[in-house]
Amino acid sequence: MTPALELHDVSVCFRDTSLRHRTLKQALADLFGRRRPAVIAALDHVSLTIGEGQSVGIIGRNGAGKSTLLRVFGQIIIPNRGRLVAHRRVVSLLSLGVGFHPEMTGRENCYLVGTLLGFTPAETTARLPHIAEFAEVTEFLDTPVKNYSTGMHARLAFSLATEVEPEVLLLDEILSVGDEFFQKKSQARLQQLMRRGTTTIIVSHNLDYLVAQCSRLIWLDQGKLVADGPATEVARAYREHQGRSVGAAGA
Amino acid sequence: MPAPDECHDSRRRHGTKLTNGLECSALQTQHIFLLLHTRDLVRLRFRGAALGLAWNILQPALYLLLFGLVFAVVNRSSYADFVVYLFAGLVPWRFFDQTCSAMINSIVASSVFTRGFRVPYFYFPASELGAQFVDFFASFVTLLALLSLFKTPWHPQMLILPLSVLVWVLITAGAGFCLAVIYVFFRDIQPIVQMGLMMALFSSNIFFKADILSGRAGHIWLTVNPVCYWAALFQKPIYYGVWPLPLDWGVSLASALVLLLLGTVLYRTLRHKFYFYF
Repeated sequence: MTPALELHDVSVCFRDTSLRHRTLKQALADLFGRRRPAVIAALDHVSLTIGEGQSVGIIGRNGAGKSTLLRVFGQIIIPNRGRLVAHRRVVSLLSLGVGFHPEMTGRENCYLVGTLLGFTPAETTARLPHIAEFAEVTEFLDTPVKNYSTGMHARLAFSLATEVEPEVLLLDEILSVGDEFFQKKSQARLQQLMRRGTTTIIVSHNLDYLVAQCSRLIWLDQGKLVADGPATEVARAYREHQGRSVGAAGA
Repeated sequence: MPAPDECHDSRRRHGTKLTNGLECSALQTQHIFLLLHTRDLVRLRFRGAALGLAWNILQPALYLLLFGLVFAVVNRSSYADFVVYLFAGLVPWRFFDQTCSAMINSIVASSVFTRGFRVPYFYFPASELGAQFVDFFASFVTLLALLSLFKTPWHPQMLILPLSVLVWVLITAGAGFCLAVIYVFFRDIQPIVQMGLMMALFSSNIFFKADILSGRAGHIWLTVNPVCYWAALFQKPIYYGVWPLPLDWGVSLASALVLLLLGTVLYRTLRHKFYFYF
């Protein structure tokens, strides 16, 4: 297996104070109250390798560290410990509302985000008609993004990110947004990218979707790697665990 | 498998290594992002305004003329004379004040991009600095136009002004970067900063001439207040027609150096924590 991304003993920790928007007032109160902030491990000594062309799903409960792991792959979060080695260019499509400046128009955002995805302005100009056409926003391209519907926003983000023909594509629940027609259209494009050898890493709570799309599943719980293997096997183990947890909670 | 590229990545020490020339290719287009973002910030400020970019000239002109009128009365000076004195100090101060106010929120506001893409955080305060410099340039042009309007003599010492502008930009960049980093962690500092800026302005000799102070304490204060030395880089060539003293340059450059150094240290030490405070 030729690796596209490698994680070596990666840990990501943050203080609980960051969750409640720390202020100078709170900091002084903590200092004089001698309250020591708790450290939360979002990822705890995770090591794994993603091979070129693999389609990988990441599963786990809320707060398990799925999105953090995706953001480490996308080099958006810098690990406190361990290291990421990226052999291929990563394009992230992480969540709605991220990546587009709400006051700027769709066109301006395409040029801006295009540069972050590796396009020069000339390349964006050449590809813009196709991007807008796929996203079905051609007539709204000069409207500020804040006036877009959720679906329009998702369509434009997806269209732009997949136009790059990324070597590694990171997706965080974003395909569940938009109408049924767009979901089918985007899944068709995603499958096209997979056939061409794009490495895909998807975070989703839709286990059936992940089993259908991915050959490998990674199961995280409280920042720790619980299982990593063929999609059907990990999905079965995860369902059994979920069943036991629900049963124990109901008893 | 491609061999790891030797392209330097500042994040490598923090646990990320990109191979196969990926870092270099990303940087090639990321600097275009900086330019586009700066341009868009300038456009956004005046989008929808009836006079559009003309506000870049009109806004500082109206602001300066109104302040000139009020403080000429306070200083018991002739309007034309006092306006030139006031403008010489107020034009760079306004740049400093407005840029600090814009830069303070820039890293937090950048989360729409930085939560989804790998882009250096410092691009966003830098974009704000660039966008505000457009205003500074417009104010500077307005200042020169008003000098002609009030028939103020053009001193040869004014040729030093581009250097004065550069020093003010460095001071502003340093202060703005420090504030932008601190604001990520302490969101309640904005009113404190605004109050500090106002106090710094009114305790300097930008709004009043030093000769209206009667007490010794006032004169000592003006001697230890660095803002007076910064202002001298504009006031002396424009109003007094003399070269700024080496002490003026020394204090101003030292202020810029200290602020830039502090901003760089804060940014490099704390940037890996930014994400968790958005």
